[in-house]
Amino acid sequence: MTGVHVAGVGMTPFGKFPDRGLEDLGLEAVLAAVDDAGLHQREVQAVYAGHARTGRLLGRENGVGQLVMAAAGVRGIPVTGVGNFCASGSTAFREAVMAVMTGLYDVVLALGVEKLSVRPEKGKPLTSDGMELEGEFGFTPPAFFALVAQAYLEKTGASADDLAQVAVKNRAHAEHNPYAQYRKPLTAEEVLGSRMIADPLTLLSCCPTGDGAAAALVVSDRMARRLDRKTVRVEATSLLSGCGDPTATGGFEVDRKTAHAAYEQAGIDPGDIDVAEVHDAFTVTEVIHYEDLLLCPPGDGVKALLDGQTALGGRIPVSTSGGLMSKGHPLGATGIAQVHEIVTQLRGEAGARQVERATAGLTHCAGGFLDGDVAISAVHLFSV
Amino acid sequence: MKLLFFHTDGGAVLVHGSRCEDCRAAAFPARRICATCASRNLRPENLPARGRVRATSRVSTPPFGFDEPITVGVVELDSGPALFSLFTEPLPRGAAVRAVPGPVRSGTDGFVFEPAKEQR
Repeated sequence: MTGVHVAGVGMTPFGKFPDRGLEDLGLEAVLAAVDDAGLHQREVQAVYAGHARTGRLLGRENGVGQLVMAAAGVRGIPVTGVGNFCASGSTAFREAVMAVMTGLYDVVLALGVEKLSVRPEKGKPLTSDGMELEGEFGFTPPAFFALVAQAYLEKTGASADDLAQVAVKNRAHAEHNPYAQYRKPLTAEEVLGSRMIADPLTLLSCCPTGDGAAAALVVSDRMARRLDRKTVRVEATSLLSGCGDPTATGGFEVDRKTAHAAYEQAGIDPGDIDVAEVHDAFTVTEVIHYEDLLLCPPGDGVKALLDGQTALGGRIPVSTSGGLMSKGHPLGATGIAQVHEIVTQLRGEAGARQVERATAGLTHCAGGFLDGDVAISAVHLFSV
Repeated sequence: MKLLFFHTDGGAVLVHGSRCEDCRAAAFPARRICATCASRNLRPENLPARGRVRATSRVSTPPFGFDEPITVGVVELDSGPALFSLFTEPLPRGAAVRAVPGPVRSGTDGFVFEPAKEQR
């Protein structure tokens, strides 16, 4: 088996782009990624394209990857659509990694693209696939995570005021990320004083949606040696389906198992991670992820946050891109945008938000719901 | 419109679940394979919609199909399964609740959990 490397990344800014289609957004990310690697798009041998809501919203349940690659002048190669809820992009990346790892291809592109600004229910929470039964009783993602928050706050004695600091921190990071949708600094008072969505989660405790695309070019050892570009090694890819009971435990067992498998695969100690992008869809989830991904000891999530350990300049900066909280969450693009940030950090190209001497990074994306738990957890580890 | 997975008996709500003949675990919705022990030996069982609150949340921004703010939460039925449902009001963990007939999304006839009055 060959080692696997990220040779190039590219993304659009995330935001609301009523005048831009999937093809246009996807093409910008693909060209940015191949240019970044110093390759031509016709050197790409296979593509995995993540998207989650293009069927319901845009009548393209299938074929987004083919659409974008044809726009790039690339036809006659294997292109596979990947749908896995909010983790569609992470899953497309994993498929690309495995396709290179097996030795089948030397250059594989992972693409994620989504356009949520066309949804009709503006001002209402995004719904989730497959929640028909629970939907009869008012289920929405923020309502579910509000219940998880209640369990976490009760377990730890933390407060809603504490959780608001996640939004403040991630917005401070976003100020330095030109790809982020929201970059104006926030105060805890603004977070707590914004419209209540589901107690204790206010509007600014929930990530915004958005439009955007991101791409990563994954290559073999052989190809990495050929390139001038500084590449980033993929040390682990781990993905599991849900297996816990977070409204009971205030934590995500599936994330613990997924992360554990990733650390084992990589032979990396959690303490060696220098920078992480986690699925901060809600303030509370970021804090819980610190614990489940072993970025801090169990029970110390809020302490790690309030001590500044997870802010830029801290022990383990988390969501240096601004996270989903500030970038927004165009579902299929999110997981690959996380890879974009970690690769940028490990190459030392993150500018004002650079984590000093970062040599190992983590991405984590969860997605969907099934039977009282999230449906998916995906963790990837990287190093230089 | 009425939800199809429950009925009422003398004012009490029963949900249509299942029970594993091997490990005795109850489930709602009804299953063919036991989630606990993977047995295929299950039979349908109507489960009383009574139990204890795990958590509730007041939802000020409800989804389509609800005109007013709602309270949602998870109840742990006395028979075992945990169920996402509507509640009449926010309630603390451990509060005893029972389901009564009431409207769910878009006014469909369903059930809502309220505090259980009598001592159990």
